[in-house]
Amino acid sequence: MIAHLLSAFFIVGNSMFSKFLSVASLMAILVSLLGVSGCDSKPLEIAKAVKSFDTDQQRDAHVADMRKNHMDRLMHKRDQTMHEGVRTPKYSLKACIDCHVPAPTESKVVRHTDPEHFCATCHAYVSVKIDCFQCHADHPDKPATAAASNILLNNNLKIATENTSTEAVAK
Amino acid sequence: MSNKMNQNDGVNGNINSYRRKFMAGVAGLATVVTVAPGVVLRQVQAKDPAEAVTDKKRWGMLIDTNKLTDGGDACIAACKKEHGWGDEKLSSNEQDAQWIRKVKVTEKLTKNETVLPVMCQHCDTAPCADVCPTGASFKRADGIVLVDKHICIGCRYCMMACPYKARSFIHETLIDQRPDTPRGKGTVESCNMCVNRVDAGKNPACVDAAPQAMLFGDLNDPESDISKALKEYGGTQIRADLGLNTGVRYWGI
Repeated sequence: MIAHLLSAFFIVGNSMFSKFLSVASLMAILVSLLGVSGCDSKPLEIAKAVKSFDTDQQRDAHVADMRKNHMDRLMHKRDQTMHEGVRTPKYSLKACIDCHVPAPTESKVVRHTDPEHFCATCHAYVSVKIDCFQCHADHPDKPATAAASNILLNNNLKIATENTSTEAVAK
Repeated sequence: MSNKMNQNDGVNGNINSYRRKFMAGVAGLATVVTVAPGVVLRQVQAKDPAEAVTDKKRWGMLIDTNKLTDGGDACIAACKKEHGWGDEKLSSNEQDAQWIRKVKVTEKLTKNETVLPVMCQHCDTAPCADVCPTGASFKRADGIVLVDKHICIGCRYCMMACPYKARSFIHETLIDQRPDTPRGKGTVESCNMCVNRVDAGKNPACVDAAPQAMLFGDLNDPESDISKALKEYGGTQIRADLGLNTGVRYWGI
């Protein structure tokens, strides 16, 4: 801006300087106003995760990795789960949703069409339209059933570990 | 089990310790859990979730129609609850999803009626997977036939190819799907043998809803209940003439 003003000052003679100065100053004010409004935008408010990491380092690594790579991670896991039956919680879309989208309450169900939905917040901001939720559940199960399935899951894990231990004995 | 034996230790310590080891071995092999006297649960061994499925197993199902007194209504209700289908508000009767349907067969001469639940038969040589232009219909290594809806283009060729009319097409926008069963407009779906439950070491929902009439297990394992039952009494495939080597077998039809 200042460079423009200076160059304009050298090109235009002194006679036209006053008129030019008035126009230029008006433009400068307008442009600076634009700049101010641009700087004023707040970072997106993203819904807080339900679970928390053990350490801050783990959390920061997760955030940094996911910001850049979530699409690749999900795509890779998608094919592994679908075709090979790999069902670890890491990079599973269901695990993402369980942690990042609040469970439905009596009064409120957060869906992917709502701006406060974890995925929708950024996707709407950058005008990305992803069709995951045309098929996938966009919010966790209702609390009661979710709790029940968690118990089942834990039991299964327990059974799985018991099985491996008895196998070891049998061998 | 072993606690009880510990208490009985004493006089014949050697015999008991031998027996204990033997029982531990048996328990390790078959994972038999005794809940109450006379009630024995046989847990299908859960696979390691990080492990890919292999063709060492082939999952199968045996349905005894004589013992399905309701013709499979309980199974269908359990399936709907597990996978969330059957609530398509905008679809007509012809368009509605049908993961399992009740089929009534009447013999022309005797008028003898048989009702059987028919779902995806999880064929070894699945015609749906054969005709799929994108590879969305496929048979998993452990014999479960699935639709990969990520790459399904909704052409419905598989629906035409399936001799069991086991597949449905979703005609309307859906919300609130079950977390373990993604399903959406424009894709084909069918019974997935509750692949999410099977991977977690559980029985399919229909089998749990009618345990008196249905068996689920590994057809490749000669020691599994289903293999033993089929070896002893055989089992009928629907349209066996097509030579599809189905994973679902029937008794009483």
